Formats: sequence, C-alpha cells, structure tokens
Amino acid sequence: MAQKLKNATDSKQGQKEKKNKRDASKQKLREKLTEMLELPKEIVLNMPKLMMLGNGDLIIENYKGIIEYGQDVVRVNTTSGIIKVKGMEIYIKEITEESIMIYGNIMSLEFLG
Amino acid sequence: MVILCHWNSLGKTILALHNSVFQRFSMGVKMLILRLWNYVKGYVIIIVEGYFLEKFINICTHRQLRLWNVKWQKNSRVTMRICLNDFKMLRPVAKRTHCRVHIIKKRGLPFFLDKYKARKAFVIGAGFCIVVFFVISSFVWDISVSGNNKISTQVIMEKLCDNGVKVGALKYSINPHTVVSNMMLEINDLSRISVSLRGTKIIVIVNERIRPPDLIDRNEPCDLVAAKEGVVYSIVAKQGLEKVKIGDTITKGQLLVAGTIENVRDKNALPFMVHSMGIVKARTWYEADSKVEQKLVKEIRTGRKKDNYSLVLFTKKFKLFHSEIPYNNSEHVEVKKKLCIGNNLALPFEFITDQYYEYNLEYNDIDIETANKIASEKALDLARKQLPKNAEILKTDVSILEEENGARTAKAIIECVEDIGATQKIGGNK
Repeated sequence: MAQKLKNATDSKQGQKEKKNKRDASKQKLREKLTEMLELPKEIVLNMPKLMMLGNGDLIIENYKGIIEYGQDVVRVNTTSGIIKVKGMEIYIKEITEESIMIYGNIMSLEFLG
Repeated sequence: MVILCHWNSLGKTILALHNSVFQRFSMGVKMLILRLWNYVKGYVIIIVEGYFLEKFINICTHRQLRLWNVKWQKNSRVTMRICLNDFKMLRPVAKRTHCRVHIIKKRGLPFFLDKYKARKAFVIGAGFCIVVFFVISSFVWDISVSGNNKISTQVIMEKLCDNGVKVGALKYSINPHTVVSNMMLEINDLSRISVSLRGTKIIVIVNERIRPPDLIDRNEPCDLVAAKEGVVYSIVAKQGLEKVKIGDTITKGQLLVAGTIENVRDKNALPFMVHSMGIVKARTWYEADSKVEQKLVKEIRTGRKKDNYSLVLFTKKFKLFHSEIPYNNSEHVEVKKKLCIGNNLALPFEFITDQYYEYNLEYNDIDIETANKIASEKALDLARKQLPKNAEILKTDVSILEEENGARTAKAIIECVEDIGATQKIGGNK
C-alpha cells in the first residue's frame, strides 16, 4: 500500500517534473522562434523593456506592479525578476498599466531573482 | 561584399539615429500635449496616507487610473496627481487598501472656470470686449495713398469713396480687384494702382502715367515758330527755309523756319510744302528782384506753450477742456496720434494735440552789406525758379539799385541759351 502510495507520489512528482521540463522546452522554443523571426521580445515573451537616459530617467515597460516604494528605493516586479532601483530623491513621474517612469538621481539598478 | 556590409551598417546607424531623434521629439511633444490636456481636464494633487501604498498604486494602475508625479513624503505618506475624472473612482480603492486620501490642491481649467462663475460681470465684460474688438477691426479706419505726384490725393480719395473705400466702410464689402479695375477706368493718368487691405488699413499705391507728347505727322506741312522772345544764338534747319539770322531779336510767335517754300522761278505755281524741322537756340533772360531790408524781423519763441487736446472717435471730434489762447502771437502745430496695434491694425481712435507756441517779434538792424547779400541771394533764387529744365546758363548778374527815396532793391538777371522752336501746323493753330 505504502509502496503503491510512494509510487503514486513518485509518478506525480515525475509528472510535475515532466511538466516543468515541457514548459522550459516550450519557453526555449519560443525564444528560438522569436530570435529566428526577429520578433520584438518584449511583446512575444512579455519581457520588461527598460529605457534609461543617463542616470535620471528610467522607463520600464511591461512591468507587473510595484512591490515597494520608499524614500530612496523603488522595487518593481517584472517577468525577469524584481528590479530594485536606488537613488537620491527619486520619484515616480508617471505610472500607467504598461509603463512606469522613475525620475531622479538614480544610483543603482539591481535585478533580484 | 565588404563594401556591402559597410553600407548595411551605415544604413542601420542612420536608421537608428533617425529613430532615436524621432522618438525623443515625439516624446517631448507628447508630454507637452499631455500636460495641456491635463490642465484642460483638471487635476488634483492628493496626499495618500496608509500602510499599503504600493497596493494602492497598483490597484489604481490596474483600474486604468492615470497617476503622475508620485512622490514619497515622510511618515509613509505619498503625494500624487490624478485626473479629475479618475479621482471620482478613487474612493473604493482607498477603502480596500485602508488608505486615507486628502486633496491638497485643485488645478486646471474646470476649477479656474468655477472661480469665475461667481464673477459673472467680469466674464461678460471680457467677452463683450473681445466682441467689440472684432467688430471694430472689421472696418476700415485708415487709408493711405502714396506714389502720386500730379494727381492730388483728394481726387484719388474721392474716387475711392465712390467705389466704397472710405473710412468706416465694412472691410469685407471691399473687393480690391474690382476697386483696382474701376479706379483704372475712372482715372486716366494711372499706369498702375494697387489696393491692399492690411488689418484695418487700406494701402493704395499709385504709379502715374507719363503721357506721350502730342505727335504731328511728319507728312503734314508745318512751320517752326518761337515759343519765347530772345536773341537768336544758333539756327540749324534740317528741313524748311530759315527765316531769321543769328543775332536777330525775335518775339513770341515769330516764324523761325518756314515750311512753305515758294517756287522762285514761277511765282504763280503752288508752293512746295514741307514739315519743317530744326533746332533754333536763342539767348533769353530771366529777371527777379527783391527788396533790401535792413530791418530783420525774427520770431523768437518765448518758451511758453499751450496745449489743447481733442479726441477723434470714429469720425467725430471731441474737444477736451479747450480754452482760449492767451497769446497775441502764436505758432500752431498739430500733432496727430492714431491708436494703432502693430503696424496694420489701426483703430478708430485718434488723439490730436494742438500746440500753440508763443513768440515775440524781434527787430534787428543789420548792416548794408549783409542786407544786400541776403536780398541778392533771394533775387537769384527767385530767378532760378523761372528757368526751364533744358536751359543752359551763360551768365548770372546781380545788381543793387537805389531809388530816390533811399529804398534799395536787388535785381538778378540770368542769361541762358535754350531751344525755343515750337512746331505749328500751317493753316491752323498748332
């Protein structure tokens, strides 16, 4: 019985792993396809597009939402991880559903997995 | 292949450059338009207090509420700007995230207009002012005529008036093209006329026609007669018979070159008729005199002055605080000032200042020599004015004559040579 159960869980885990693998391979295929056809990645793969002008003007398109908004730090959630922006007197100049514009004296930009 | 590659990369850079410039430019324009749009729609600056500010912002963006200038303040407070319309949808969001929202400032056209709802008279006045301005600027208030020498401005003005171009006429009723063609038909001495509307001004520029001289047909027999009196200086006949000699004194209208040539041998035969031509030059004299005056009268301004102001509205003149001029001798100067916006937008308001300068008469005695000089110069000037254009001056002479009673006059005589021949038809006057 126990063996059966173990087998069952194993098979379930195996299924999950398989699914994960399939997803990963699917993702890879997608990436390859977009690269081959030279399609814009930010649309097909839903990746964030960052545009930065010097150290003071950061536009992030395709973001998911903001996680933290403090005095000198802004954390933005995206599909390729959390982007942490640190700086002096930074503020959100404009925010819409698809893009966020951070303005101020930006010191650092980090991607957190 | 290398060259091709090179070209390809170059093309890409150019494209990229173009794209970035275009993007920047379009962004700038977009921002400007957005700002203007925000102002027109009206927006509020709000302060949000609470623990889940990030959540508040995220929900707002998900509900398509546009936020901008989101700034972090102390004590977990955030100020932001939001459209007036979006602000109305904020209440449920605030409730869900347990945030408190306060308005700090209201900005934009709707609030501005709201303010002026209470000041109806002011708004009506402003509107009325604009309407009056437009009404006034749709009339003609100034006409300027330039370029005319022989035709008087008044004549042109009268003709313009007949064509509907006058001060106070509706601007839109004037069609410059028809006015121009009518004016050309009505005034003969014009070679060109331009009528242009500039603001409330009408600018008329005229070019006068130089009339061709009256021509006499070469086949028509005629004589050459004297137009003036004088002494013959030279005579050259190209056709016809010379009737005078050098040194002859001639009177006006005397025959100089005859077109009728009689047959010498047969007196009864019909005379030979020609169109006489030639150049007859004669010495002529022009005189002028002026009195020598030793007493010189000078007008000297005393420095006192009286100003009378008057205002011209449309075409009516209003006198403002006019009073009598308290001076015996005064010089009158009129200064006109027309209210004009820019160069072309003349308005029907004119301010006239009549300035009266008081002056005293001062009698000065001068010595004979300078008095003589002044008088002779005056006489010479007068004489010179009589000279025709093509005359050649031979001699100028000025003499001072003294009469019995002591009065002196300066007499100027100018001797010159000029063509005095004038063609005249035989058997008629000219």
